[in-house]
Amino acid sequence: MRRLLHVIPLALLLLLAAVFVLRIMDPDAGDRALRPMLGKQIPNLSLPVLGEPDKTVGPKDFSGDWLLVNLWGSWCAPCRDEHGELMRIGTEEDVPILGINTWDAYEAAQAFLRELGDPYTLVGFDVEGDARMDLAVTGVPETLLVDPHGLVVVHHIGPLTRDVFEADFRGHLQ
Amino acid sequence: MNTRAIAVLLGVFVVLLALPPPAQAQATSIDTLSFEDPQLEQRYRTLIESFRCPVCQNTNLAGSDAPTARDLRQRIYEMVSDGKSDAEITAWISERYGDFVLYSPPLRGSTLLLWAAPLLIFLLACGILWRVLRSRRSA
Repeated sequence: MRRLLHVIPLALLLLLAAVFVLRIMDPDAGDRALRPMLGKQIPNLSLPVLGEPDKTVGPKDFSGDWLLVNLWGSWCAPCRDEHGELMRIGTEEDVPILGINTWDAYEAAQAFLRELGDPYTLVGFDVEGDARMDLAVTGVPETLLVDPHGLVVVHHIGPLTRDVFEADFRGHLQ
Repeated sequence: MNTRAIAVLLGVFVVLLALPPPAQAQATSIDTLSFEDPQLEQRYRTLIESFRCPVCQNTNLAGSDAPTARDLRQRIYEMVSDGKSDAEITAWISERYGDFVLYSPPLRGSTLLLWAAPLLIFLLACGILWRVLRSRRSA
């Protein structure tokens, strides 16, 4: 009996430790930490349009439609890598792409699109970095898929490849 | 088992639990944002030390040179200068980057066990201590 009484507190302590370890190891928890926008409404942004500085654009302009939001910078090598896939999506897929150019210079962004082609329906120029902070992105490139109600259903970090598109985006768009 | 040794060990454990944590090393941020008002500067420094950098494994905003950390320091600097309260700034950052950036997570259903654990462990320790002392006296 006394032996049992000694064991109970230890067992409780181990149980508590086990709960914490399991919660820390939960792969979804880390995922949610890195992609805080997932499952939330896309914030209302209003950015000057690249090439047409008198106009503004934001994700809400596309509400009612599925929308890809792609954050990029002309200096970013992985953005250059994924550009081919964006060009393919722009011509072959029936989904608008809102580009958000961030951490970049206006002229450099325009030169990048002249060189590699422009797959975007429109590109917003993130002047002060508000867009990247409101979208809680941690770098470029990152791509969000927004449903017709404005909910973020996919948040992909890193270059968008054909495989990623087929695996993570295609299912939502059918 | 030597009950006296157990009692002493438990006593030490409880005392250690009750001690305040060691003071955090004063992190000096990389950029040179400065305030005219030293009180605002102090608030700014406390704030950037109290948020985790969203892209680092475990560094606060003050200690990170990641572009996102620079962004957030700049924005917190502007908000402090504009007279925003600590609560408003905390709400702004956690609304975007989630609880992950808060070193001190808010008390709610999902964090209840986290907050209650120290008390639970303390009560467990007290329970063991009480049993051990009582069994010693009766022995």
